[in-house]
Parts: sequence; structure tokens; C-alpha cells
Amino acid sequence: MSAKLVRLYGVGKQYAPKRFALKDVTFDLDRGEFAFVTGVNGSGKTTLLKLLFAMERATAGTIMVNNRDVSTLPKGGVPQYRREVGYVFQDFKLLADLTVSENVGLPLDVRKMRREEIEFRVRGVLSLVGLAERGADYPSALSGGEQQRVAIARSIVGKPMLLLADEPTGNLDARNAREIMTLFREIHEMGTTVLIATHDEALMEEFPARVIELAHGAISSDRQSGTGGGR
Amino acid sequence: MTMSPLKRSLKDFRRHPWLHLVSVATVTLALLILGSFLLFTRNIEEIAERTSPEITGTVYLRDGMSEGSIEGARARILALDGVSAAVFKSRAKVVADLEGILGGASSGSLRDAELFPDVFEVGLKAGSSPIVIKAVSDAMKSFAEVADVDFSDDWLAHYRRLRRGLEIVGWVLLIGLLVGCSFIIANFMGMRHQSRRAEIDVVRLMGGSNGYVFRPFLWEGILEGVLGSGVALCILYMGTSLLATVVKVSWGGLLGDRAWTFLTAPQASLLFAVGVAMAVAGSLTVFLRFHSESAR
Repeated sequence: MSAKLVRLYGVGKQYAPKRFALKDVTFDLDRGEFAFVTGVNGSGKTTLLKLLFAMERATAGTIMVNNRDVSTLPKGGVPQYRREVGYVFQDFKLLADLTVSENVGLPLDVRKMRREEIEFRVRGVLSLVGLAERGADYPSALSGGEQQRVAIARSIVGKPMLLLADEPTGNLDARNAREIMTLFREIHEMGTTVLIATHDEALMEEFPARVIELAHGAISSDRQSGTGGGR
Repeated sequence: MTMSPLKRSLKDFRRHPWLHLVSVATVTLALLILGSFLLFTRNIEEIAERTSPEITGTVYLRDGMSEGSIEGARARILALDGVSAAVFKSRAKVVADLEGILGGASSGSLRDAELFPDVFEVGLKAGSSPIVIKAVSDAMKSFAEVADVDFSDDWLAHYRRLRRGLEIVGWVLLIGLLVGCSFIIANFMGMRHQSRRAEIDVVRLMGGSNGYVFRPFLWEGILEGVLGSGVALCILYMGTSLLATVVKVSWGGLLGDRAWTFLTAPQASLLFAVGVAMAVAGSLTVFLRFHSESAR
């Protein structure tokens, strides 16, 4: 098994002539690595994550995830691929008329997993995110921070090899943002490769990790964030 | 905790009751029209069958036939397939009958005239087809004793052509109506599809296949079809019972006790299946729309 889980080589995304969202992006992520993607608004962070999650197709280059070429993934192979990758959205994307447990169990339900297995796993991840008692509640009864925890629980319930998070703390206050970031650290320590898009410099300083910075769709720096302890 | 497709469908029934109600009502309406057409056709056919007069024709005999020849011809006519009766009428009887019709106004001239030959009045079995009529007619024409045969089958052919034409028009109208109803159902499903766009998107992002997304729509189609068809059959049954009572009271003496009946079990089953198929066709349309959107 290769030590590299993610390999991007010369990746580009062009929406219109002379309108590049990403240009010649090349980097690797090791298995079990924790990294941030940062940059100002419009720098290409979200596009990069979307390409990695097969929500969009690269117009140039190669994207390999777990030795699979995502850039040429056939349409029929996308659902299966997405079951192996977790994604946390900035706006949570929880379904309002499903309970917390049903929302979290959705990725397992689409895999036709047995009901008992789903219940067991959902209980486990809800405990991990500190919402063990809120399974029967609906998302509208939760705070923003709690909703983001539910979204994280949903993204990891399928035990993904790679977890992508797009501005997961963007809608949260500083305290909740810190708690969510701590949760990502815990998930990472369990062996999951984590890539988080954020422009929150303070959080990156508080949680030292590799930082890939994008500017105008290209990598402008690849560095290590501050050594201030985040835990 | 798991969300079976049926459970997801039922949840949507609670969430958008009016949209589902309109779809169910569309299926019901379509089946009421189709069912009424079937009921009308079936009962009118039966009544027509029960009250239809015997098909009769006239066989004109050549002049100077002996009694033996006439009896021989009668026996051969009766032996033909499809013939139910053959009654001999002498020239004198024909004239007397005609005089009866004309009220004796021209009795003298008629009696002296050599206009009328001896004839057989031949009856055919009820419901004989034009092919049978033609076969019997041709067979009788080939007999040496027979001068001509007249079954007045022109009007019968016209009547049958007209009935066939009306049937075709009826079926074309029905098919058009069913296609229209499927279209309406598909549009309502399309509206629900739009209202569930966010949910569908999230399910797809969680790795849900097209099949996983489509199954609730399929269940909705089946449920709407079953509900719509069930309601339509109940209304048709009640309407038939009511009409049967009216027909029995008004024309029972002429048409008998079972003058107006409900659809046969196969017909009712077919109607039910058509309703479900229509609603499922609506679901399928939504799925194809969804599929083409996701392929863009």
C-alpha cells in the first residue's frame, strides 16, 4: 500500500476561457496526515475539495486518491467513491425532516447496511461528537455548533479513509470553532487523513499542521503552521 | 433509524399532502373515464346481443319449381352452417302479405302481375358475421332452384363499419387521455422532485446511487396508483349499482334482471393495473428527468 493517500499532479479547473479556478496544482497527502488548505475567498479552496470529492471534474491534470484516478472516474463509480470519503460542509447540509440519528445514519443507509449495524455505529459516532443524547432530536432543535457536530458525525460514520471539510468553522463562534477543530484532531488521531479548507489563521496557529496556501488558483506556499498547542 | 424507500415515500405524503392528493385525483379521474367507457361498451354490447333481431334474408326461387324441388332446396338451405330457419312463402302468400301492407289498394293488379316469385325467408343465427352471411348467400346462389338471394347486408356492413369506427375513435381518445394524465402526474411529481432537490443532492453526496434516490419516487407512484385506482373502482361500482337499479326499474321487463352489470374481474384488474402503471409512468418520467439533469 502506497504511503500517499492523495496525489495531485498538474491539476487545473477552468470554468470559462481565461477563467481558471485552479491552475497546475501539485501536492501529495500521506495516509494519516492532517492538513489545512487556506487562501483568501476565491483562491480555489472549495474547488479543490470539490474535485477531491468528485463533485466536479478537473479540466487538467491527475487526481489520485487511494491509487484511484478521481479525475477520470466514470459517473457510475462516483457514489461508491463518495462512500469512501467523508465531506463536512460549511452549511452542514442536514436534512430538516430527519432526526439526528437518521441524518447520521444516511451514509450507511445508502450502503444498505443492516439496521442493527447502523444503530450501533450511529450511537458510537454521536458519543464521539458529544451528542449521544440528541439522536431523536431534529436538526432545528440544535445550535449551530451542535449541527456541525452532527455533520461531522455523518461524515465519519462510514469510516472514510479521507475526510474533507470545507470551512467547517465558518459559521461558528470562536469557542465552538475550537471544539470542532479539536474533534477533527481526535478523528485524525484515530487514523483518518484530514484535509480542512479554512481561512481562519488563528485556528491554524492553534492547531499546528501542514498548511497548503492557494492564491489565484495556484499553490503559493506549502508550510507548517505555528507551534502553539491547540489541545 | 434506517430510512426505507417506503418510509421515505410515506414521509413525503405527510409533507406534501396536496401534491399527492392531486396526483391521486388525476389517476382516479382518468380511470373513471376509462372505466365508464368500458362499462358502457360492455353493457351496451350485452344489451345489443340480448335484444338484437335475427338476421333474415330472402331467397328468390326460379319459376316452375315442383314441390319436391322446393323441399329439396329447403333441406339443403337448412343444412348450411349458420342457418337457423327457412320458411317457404308461395307467390300467392307474398302477394297477400303485400296486399296486407298496402291495405288492398292495388289488389287486382298485384294478383295478376308476374312480379313475384316463390321465396324462402331464411333466418341466420344471432351475431352472424358478414363473412358467414356472405358464405351462406354464395352457397344458396349456387343452388339450381335459386334465382337470387338478398340479405340486405349493405346496411349491416355500414352499421358494423360505423361501430368499428366509433370504437377506434373511443380508443384513440382514451389513449390520449391516459397519456395526458401520465403527463399531469409526471408534472406533479416533477414539482415534488424540485421541492426535494436539496434532499436528493445530500443523498447523492452521501454516496446514494440513482436507484436509491429513485426508489421513493417509485413507491410514491405505486401508492398513488393503488389509491387512485381503488377509489375509482369504488366509485364505478357504486355508480353501476345505482344505474343497475334505475335500468331494472325502468326497463327490467324488456332487458331482464341483469340489465346493467359491473366489469368482469379481469376487466377490473386491468383497470386497476392501468391506474398503477400510469402513476408509475409518472415516476419514471421524473426519474428520467432527474437522470438527465444529473448527467449534465
